[in-house]
Amino acid sequence: MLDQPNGSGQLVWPTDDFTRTPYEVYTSDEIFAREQQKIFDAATWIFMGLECELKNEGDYLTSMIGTTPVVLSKADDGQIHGFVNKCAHRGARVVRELRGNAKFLKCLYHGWTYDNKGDLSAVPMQKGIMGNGGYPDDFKIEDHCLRKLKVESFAGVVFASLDLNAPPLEEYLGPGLADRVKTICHSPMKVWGYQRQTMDCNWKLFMENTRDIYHAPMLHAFIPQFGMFNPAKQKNELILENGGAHSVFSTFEMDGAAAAAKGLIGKVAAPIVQKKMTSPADRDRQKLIFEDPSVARGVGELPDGLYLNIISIFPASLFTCVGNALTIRQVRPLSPSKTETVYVWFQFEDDDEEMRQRRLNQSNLFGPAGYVAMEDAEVMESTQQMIAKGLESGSTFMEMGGRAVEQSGSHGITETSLRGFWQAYCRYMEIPTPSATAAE
Amino acid sequence: MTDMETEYQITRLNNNYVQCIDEDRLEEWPGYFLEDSKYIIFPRENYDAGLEGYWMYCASAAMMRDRVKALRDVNVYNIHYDRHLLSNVVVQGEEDGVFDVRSNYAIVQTDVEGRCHMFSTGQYRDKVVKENSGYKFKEKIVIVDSFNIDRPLAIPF
Repeated sequence: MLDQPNGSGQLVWPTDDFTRTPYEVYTSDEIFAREQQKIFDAATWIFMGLECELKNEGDYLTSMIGTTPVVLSKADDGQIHGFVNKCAHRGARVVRELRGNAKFLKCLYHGWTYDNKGDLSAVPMQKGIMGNGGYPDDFKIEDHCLRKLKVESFAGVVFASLDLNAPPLEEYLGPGLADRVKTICHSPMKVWGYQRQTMDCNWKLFMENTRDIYHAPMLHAFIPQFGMFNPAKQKNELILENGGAHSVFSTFEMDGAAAAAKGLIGKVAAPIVQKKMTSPADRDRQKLIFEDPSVARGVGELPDGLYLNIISIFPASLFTCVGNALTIRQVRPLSPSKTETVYVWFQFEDDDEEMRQRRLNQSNLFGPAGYVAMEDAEVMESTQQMIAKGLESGSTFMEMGGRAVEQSGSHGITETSLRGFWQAYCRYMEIPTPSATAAE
Repeated sequence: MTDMETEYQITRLNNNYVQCIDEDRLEEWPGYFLEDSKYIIFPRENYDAGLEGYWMYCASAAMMRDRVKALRDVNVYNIHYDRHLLSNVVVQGEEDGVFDVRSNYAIVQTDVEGRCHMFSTGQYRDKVVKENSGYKFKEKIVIVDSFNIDRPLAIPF
């Protein structure tokens, strides 16, 4: 339970380390409201899209920062500008399409018209009609722009913040993370699809899952079946950045990705028994042989055998780049128990036909029908249900790999990235630990 | 104009197809397709934008059989029943023995505690051919209007 000692109204984390998370942070409306204020309407950065989606003047896309609807658009100054999608007049939605191109963005309700920087450029009947009505003489059009965002790109990837004083993006990401993103996004990119999935779970359950490498070989039986988890042939690297706020997990194939994948598939020789599985133990006994293993057979396209990257950026952005399946996701909290994720699938402009086909085949790995992803939605929804049922007391237990927030590591058999998330969470939410409170 | 017998047979193919899925006879599902065929679940957001991004991509009946194997033996997903509501099967035309067929679908899903909700709706766009053994799909593209999905997509549409 989050304590409020002496009725002070101040929340206190249950432990000094971050091995416990009180269940109520996943269910409370008050916590959800505070998160919007302290984490999303704050000095954090959220993934918005790729620069290549906003190539031409007037290109725009709509997005979200937490529960705040936003628009990003390329203006006549060649820059990408961001603003809140809420008319400065009466709060109506200004841009209705998901994305498009327009010289001006006009609110449907009273026709207030903005430029691609979010500045108001025209107001119908501003001076009234034939001496009737109109705004007062001191009405200044420049006083009524849309709320502006801070927008920055890194390696062709666009982020935005609701806080105009947010630290520079690259500094926020940290050097290890920035370096890895630069390696992945190495040449001009192209979006080849979007996916949207809404799950009945708290957004933090989802973000924890993106840092939880421990679960992967157990929950996603596809991974060991296809030799995707093979410590003997892989070198792993874990980096935490920004005081544990962000997590980078990477795998390097030591003898080349394609060869490893092929060799391992070849070794799976037991016949398939066609029957319905009833338990995880049953699943583990089965050996899966695919007639067409191309869905799981990537070709290394990054230096040093770098093959798998899961980059979880606080609070709510995620790179999942495995083999040739390259995606970046934005996570949108809708309510304490509802979360939407929006995938952007990308490729490179100079991909050949073979690579296009590979990416198509491997797209079966992720998304709502993903061979190594569909279980996540199931487990998060059932966890949310259980957390919300009965009394909301108790907390999680995260001591795999110790109790500290280790800033780096060489394996995923640790919950340090989860502890790091909660450490950052408490920092932004201004929730002190018991000893910090006692010291006051 | 397609003759009534052909219309009937193609409608029957579609009815049998959705019934096979609803009755969980998934091992039979790839048999509705030619070996060299395509099955794609295509969120409308991408279709409308001229992008390829799919939810499920099978470039052959072999890839469909693989899907079924993985569902049976490896993947875990929500326990549920699906019920397809299929309507408005229209044979748009025929060219070189390939029928261009469209129909509407809705899938109502019932969960483990017996509650149902509308899971997905959209249009099937099919290429159908007649073989000795009967009519089969050469291509089935499921264009999903409800492109913001709210449950795992395990069972094919």
